[in-house]
This record gives sequence, C-alpha cells and structure tokens, in this order.
Amino acid sequence: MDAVVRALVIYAVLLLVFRIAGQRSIAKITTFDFVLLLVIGEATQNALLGEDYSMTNAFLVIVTIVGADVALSLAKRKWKRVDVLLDGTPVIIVDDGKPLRDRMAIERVDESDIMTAAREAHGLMRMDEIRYAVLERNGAISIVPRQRTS
Amino acid sequence: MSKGPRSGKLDVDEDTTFMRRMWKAQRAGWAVFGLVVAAGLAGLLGSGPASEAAAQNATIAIDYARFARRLSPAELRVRALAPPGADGLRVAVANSFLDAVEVSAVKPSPVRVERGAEASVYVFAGAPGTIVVSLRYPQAGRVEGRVSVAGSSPLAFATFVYP
Repeated sequence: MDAVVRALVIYAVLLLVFRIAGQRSIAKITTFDFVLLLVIGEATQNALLGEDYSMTNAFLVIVTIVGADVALSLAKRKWKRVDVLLDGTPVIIVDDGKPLRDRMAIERVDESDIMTAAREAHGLMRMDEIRYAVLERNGAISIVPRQRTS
Repeated sequence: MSKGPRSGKLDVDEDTTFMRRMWKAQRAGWAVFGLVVAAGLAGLLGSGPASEAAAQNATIAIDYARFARRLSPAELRVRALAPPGADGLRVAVANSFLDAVEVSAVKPSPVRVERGAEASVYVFAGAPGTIVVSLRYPQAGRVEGRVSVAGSSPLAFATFVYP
C-alpha cells in the first residue's frame, strides 16, 4: 500500500514543480538541465523506494507511475480543462513581424531564440520575414513565414 | 490487409492489422496496470489491509503479515495472554522460523535466549506487554513460524515473501 501512495505523491509533486518551473522543451536541453535531471532522480530515489529493496516494490512503483501517466493522458483527452491545466496553451510571441515583448518576458524567450527557430525551420534572415511565431505547449517555437514576393 | 487512406501514394510501411492488435493489447495492459495498483493498495503485494493478520490461542496472541517482501523491514508483534512464571515470561519461537529470517531487534530486550533442539526460548523479565520483533526475510517464498508461551500449545502462522 505504501509503495503505491509514495509513487503517487512523488508523481504529483514532480508534476507540480515542473509545471511551476515553466515550459521548456526537452529538445533544447542544456548540459545543466541534464545534470539537474540526474540530481532530481537521485533525490527522488530514496523517497520512492524507502527501505524496501525488493523487486516487487520496484515493479509496483513503476507500474503505479506509468499507470498514473496513462490515466492522466486519458483525462487530458476527455476533459479540455485538465489538458490546459497540465500543459497550458500555445502563446503567440510574434505577430506580423512584431515581437510581443511582454509575453516574451513572461515566458523567458528572447529574440535570438525566435530567430534561431526561424533560421532552422525556414532559413529566414530577419524578424520582419516572420508572420507569426508561436511558443508551443512543448516549449518549442514554431514559425509561420510571410509569403515571399520574389 | 486493410489499407488506410492514401497509403497507395505515400511511401510508408503501415500495417494496420498489426497495429490494431497492438492497440488492443495495450488497452488490456492498462487494465492489468489498474489491477496491479489495486492489488498493491489492498496489500496483496506487501503491506496493506489485506496483509495484516492476527492470530491467538488461550495463552498467546500475535500480529503478523500475510504478505511481505524480500529484504524489506517487517514486524512481528507477540502478546502473552497467560501470566508470567516465577522467572519471567518464556516465549518459544520455532528454530525453523528463526533460521529463515534476520531478526534485527526485539523490544523489550529479552534477559536471555535459550536455544533448544526445536525452538529457542526468549526469556523476558516480569510482564513485558507487547513484544515487537523487527525482522527481514532474506529469501523469497513461504515462511512458516510457530510461537508459544513455553509449555503451552503453539500458535502457527505463515507469511508469503515476494521476491
């Protein structure tokens, strides 16, 4: 019983902490983010397993956490409200070539991040070639280029 | 093989028959997840309400676990229902049980332990109340135990230890 409860509590705490920390794409993970993940893994381990080193405990903890993940993904599909609460919504950060600075400041995105995405996806050179830039729910920036006139 | 839309033009190795079977298997797997978690909550895989058990006869009462896990801390609680003898309370525990577990602590501490051929006798001063034995099971499988107030009829119990 305690194994299931421990796993659910840790799952909920991690979900809450990462939700508060804000959106960040796993694709743009820095070396420090990676170290941070390792440290979090180490810190969580004791709380998850307790003094119980049996395979049954490990099995039960894994099944509980993966099961909670599946249940949440089903809940997100069923209730839009849960989906928005857990994953947020996309945010427009460039509108018709103009960066929306108040939104960018809150989401901690700067112009160089946007231009990186613009170059990578479409080979754009300047901000005014972007029609829309959207910070997606997974933390990636997607770019809609202006129609080229050439 | 059933074909999805546009698969004639798109160069993709789609196998909907296989994937449909896979999806069914996944749904079934989720149900199994639910059952495992429910069993874990109930205590069928270790600690929990379904695992807590008590037994008693005229002279002795115990609380033990029906299900335990290998190498994780467990407890056995023993209470004597008969008054202690002249040299204190003598509780006999089957050697087969003591050999199958690792006892880390007995509270209150016994004055001495007398090991006999079949059972070991823990001698406690006065009336010790509830005796708590902290232990671990080093091996998976069924472990059977017998405890008694020395000279009286023994009380048998069994624990299943998960790996």
